[in-house]
This record gives sequence, C-alpha cells and structure tokens, in this order.
Amino acid sequence: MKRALPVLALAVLTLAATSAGQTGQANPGAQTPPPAAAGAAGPPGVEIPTLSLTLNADAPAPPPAQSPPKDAAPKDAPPAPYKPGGMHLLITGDTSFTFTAQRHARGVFEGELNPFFVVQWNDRLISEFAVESSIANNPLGGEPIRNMTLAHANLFYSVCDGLAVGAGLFHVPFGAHMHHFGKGWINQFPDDPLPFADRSLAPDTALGVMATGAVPVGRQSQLTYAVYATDGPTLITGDEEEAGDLDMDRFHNFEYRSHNQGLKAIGGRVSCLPIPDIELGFSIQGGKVEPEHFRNTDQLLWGIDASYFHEFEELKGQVRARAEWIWSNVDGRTFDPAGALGFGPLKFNNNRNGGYVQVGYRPTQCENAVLQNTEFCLRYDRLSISPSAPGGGNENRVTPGVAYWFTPSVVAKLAYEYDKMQGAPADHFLIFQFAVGF
Amino acid sequence: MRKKVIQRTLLVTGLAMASIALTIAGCSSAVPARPQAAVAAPEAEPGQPGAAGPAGAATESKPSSTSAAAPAETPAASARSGVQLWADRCARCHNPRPPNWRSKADREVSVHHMRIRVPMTGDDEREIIKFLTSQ
Repeated sequence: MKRALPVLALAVLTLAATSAGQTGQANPGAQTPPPAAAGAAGPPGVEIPTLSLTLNADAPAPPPAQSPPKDAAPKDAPPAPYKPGGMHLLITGDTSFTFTAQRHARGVFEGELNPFFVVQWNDRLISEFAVESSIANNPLGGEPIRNMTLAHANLFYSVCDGLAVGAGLFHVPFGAHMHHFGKGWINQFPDDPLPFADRSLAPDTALGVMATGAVPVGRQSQLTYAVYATDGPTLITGDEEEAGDLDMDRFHNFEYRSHNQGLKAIGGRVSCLPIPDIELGFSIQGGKVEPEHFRNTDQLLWGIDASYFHEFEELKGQVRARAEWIWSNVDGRTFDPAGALGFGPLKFNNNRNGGYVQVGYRPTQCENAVLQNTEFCLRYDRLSISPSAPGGGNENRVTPGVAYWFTPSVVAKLAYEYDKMQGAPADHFLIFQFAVGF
Repeated sequence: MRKKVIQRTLLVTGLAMASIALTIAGCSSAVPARPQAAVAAPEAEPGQPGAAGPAGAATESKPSSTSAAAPAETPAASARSGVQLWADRCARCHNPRPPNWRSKADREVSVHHMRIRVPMTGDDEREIIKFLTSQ
C-alpha cells in the first residue's frame, strides 16, 4: 500500500496535467506569438534530421473526407492561421556499442539503446519517460545477456523561477556522475568510475518525490539544490557474494526485485557555482535499509563533487576536470547468523568509500583538424570495501584514454584500464566504445 | 544509538531548513516559470543590435566560455547573455550542439527539460531560449 502511494500520486498528477494541457487553462503559452514550424526551423540549405514530433502545434488541418465543392477556396488561398498547441513531445536519447577485451578472457560486445521521451504538457508541466535496453554476449558462454529497464517515468511542475517539484521514477540527484555525466555521449571514458559501476555506492534511479531549483547569488554565482524522498535501497543479506551491498538496481527488467518493505530514503544535493566554470557539490542521503530480520539497520551516504571546465588560450584548448568521492556508512550486522545459507555467521565493518579524479584536454585551437576533435583523458578511480566483506578490499584503477568527437554528440573512445584489486593480480582491459546522443 | 538519533535528526533538520530557505529564495521572484519573453524574442538578425548573440557563435559547435562575446545588455536582461549562458551551462557537462540542431519548438522543450535536470534558474532558461530561438 505504501509503495503504491507514489504511483497513485503520479497518476493523479498526470491526469491533472493532461486535463490542463487539453483545456489550455494552465497554458499561458497559447496566447503567445507562435514559434516557427518545426520543419522550417533550421537555416536555409541545412537539413538536420531531428527525431521530434509536435502534437497539435504544427500539424496542418486534416484533409476533408470528401473532395471539396467546386466553389471552395482556390488552391493558392492563404493557409489557415497558425494555432500553437500546448503539448509537445521531444524524442531524444542515446545509443552505444562497446567492445571490452580482457587478458586471458573472452571479449565482450555490448549494444545499448536508451530512448528518452520528454513531454511538455504546458509551460509548467513536463514529463520524462525513458527505457534502457542492452544486449551483450556472455563471456562464459551460453545465452546472451539482455536487459531492459524502465528508467524514467515522472512529472515535474515548475512552481516558480527557483522551484520545480516532481514525482515518479527519476534520476536521484545524489552526486554528479550519474546525474550529469553518465551518458555514453557525455562521458569521455567508455565506462563508469568504480563507485558508480557494478557495486555502486550511489543511487541511480528511484521512485519518489523531489523538489529542485537554482537561486542566483550575485551577478555570476548560483546555488542549486535538490531534495528528495524515495523508496530507498535495501541491504542484501542472503547472497554469499553480495552480502552487505546495497541493492540499488531495483527495477531490473521491469521487475521490482527489491526486498524493500516500504522503507524510505531522504536526501539532497546542494551545489555552488562561484564562477560559471566551477561547480562544487555536496550530497547526503539517509534512511533505513533493513530487510526482514535485520531491524534498525540504517544507512548514511554522503559525497562531495567538483567539476571544472575552461578554455585556455595559453594551452590552445579546453580542459575538463572532475572529481567526486562518496562515503557509505551502513550499520554492521551479522549475515547468515545460523549458517543456514552456508557462508555465515559473517560480520564486518560495512563502511565503504570510493571516488574518482579525472582530467581531459582537447586542443580545440590547434590547426590540425583531427587534433581539434581529439580529447586526451586520464582517470584514477578507487573503491574501498572492508577486506572482511564478500569481494572486499581496495580496488584501484588507472585509465588513460582518448576520445574522438565526430560531432558534439557522436564520439569514438578507446581506453586502457589497469585494475588492481587488493590481494589479486592486476587486470588489464582494452575498451572501445562508439556512442551517439540524439 | 544516541549517535544515530543525532545523525538522523541533523540530517532531517538540515535538509528541511535548506529546502525551506532555498524555496523561499527561489520563489521570491514573481516572474512566472516561462514567460512570453522566451517565445516572443525579438526577431533581430544575428549580429545586429538587439540580437541574442554574435553570428559567429551561432554556428560554433565548440563554444568557448572565454571567447563568446556578449551583446549589449538591457536593463531587463539578466547579468549574463544567452550565448554566454548557453556556452557555460551546456559545456560544463557536455559538448553543446549547434543552436539550430533541433527545431525551434524542440529547443524550448530541451532547455526546459535541462532547467529541471541541471538545474538552472528561470532567468537562465529564458535567456538561453531567447538566444537559441533567434538563430
């Protein structure tokens, strides 16, 4: 029942939005001069295909069911006055192809397609709907690995200049990587940093409510904020290899896999932009992560992030630098206390941390056209888990890479990863990725 | 146990206070979310007085935060011009696409979406839309 409340709230809000969009009562844009027709928006002679569909806005009047009478208006009569509609659908998203080669192991091919639908119901209401799908060969043999997940389904209302509120399934604004830089056509590297990879410390998407906005401070500075309450992650207790991890991937293949029994997490992120080139952020999330038989188990996540972007005349190019670190504190518990699952009793300190530091340089002012579009990158990332935990220890990774930008959102990337896990020999990976944002 | 209670209380109180303060600050502006300035942008030619940005910046696919020239500001304009904001806000996360990459109607939806995702202020959104729709 508790879990159904956010869904019901979203359904009610969606109905209200649909009603408002149809009646136009909440759509001051209908009184405005019309925007140019979608098909005529680009400059003359430049045809750029866009995956967009405008509803009620640019569609010509439908043809009559029967041929017009002879005394009808001549063919060269001026068209009917343009009447803009209130709803607009934008289809966007990204796709990528990745090949990963590992020493002494089979290579992995993976394809992804992530369509993203943005529906603007009227000037204040906007929805996001997204599906993430992927297919990869199984390096151990057997059936390919397929995934399809509902990633976004939400509705946001812009209350005023500095506040928007929303509900549904959305990207959790914790940290910066997943929220801002995680897409293949944005990330300069072909994979995510360790704290956001398989054993992620940070939430990705969640079901709940959120308020977000930005406030100007002075002439150039800004403060942005986001606060949310969601169905929080749950502690994994019954899996020998993952006991102690937080289950962040709860909507896998359209199934709600979590053992979360109405648990909530609250959190938020505040960031400061003292000058436009720099953003400094602080995130925090707290809540209960207790599945059955693990009462009073709490989590406290917090993280810091920083990003910097500038074009230097002296260096004849752009420099992008990002850094982020996350700390996860979860109450220690005894897993499989009776030994019934075959790996207990197991107890360890369940505090973890991880982060990354990366820098990229692109010589945009170089005379060589190939070099202009080439970005040279270097990343160091680390994940630290208690050595007593399953799969625990310190993992350090160094990744030099190069990205070639065919267009601002079409990129080919090649990276070499040196991955050293505590107490194990180093792994070496060579990863190629071709990514497109549309 | 006492430490946990204190931690939780601090977390809830801090978030609540920050939310209230920022909401009040954000809502102090009486400007609606997307006023007509965005869609009723002057149809001045790029490069002409009153245009949202220089003609060169309109087709520049790799805008520079240092090289983007600002048009003359009007009293009603925000502190930074649309082309500057477009270059700075977009480029901070990704390579900005050319302004005419999407249809004009799509540009508005895209920027409004980014306003919530990033997030941005309403002023920034309007200035960026004004610049993009003038191209």
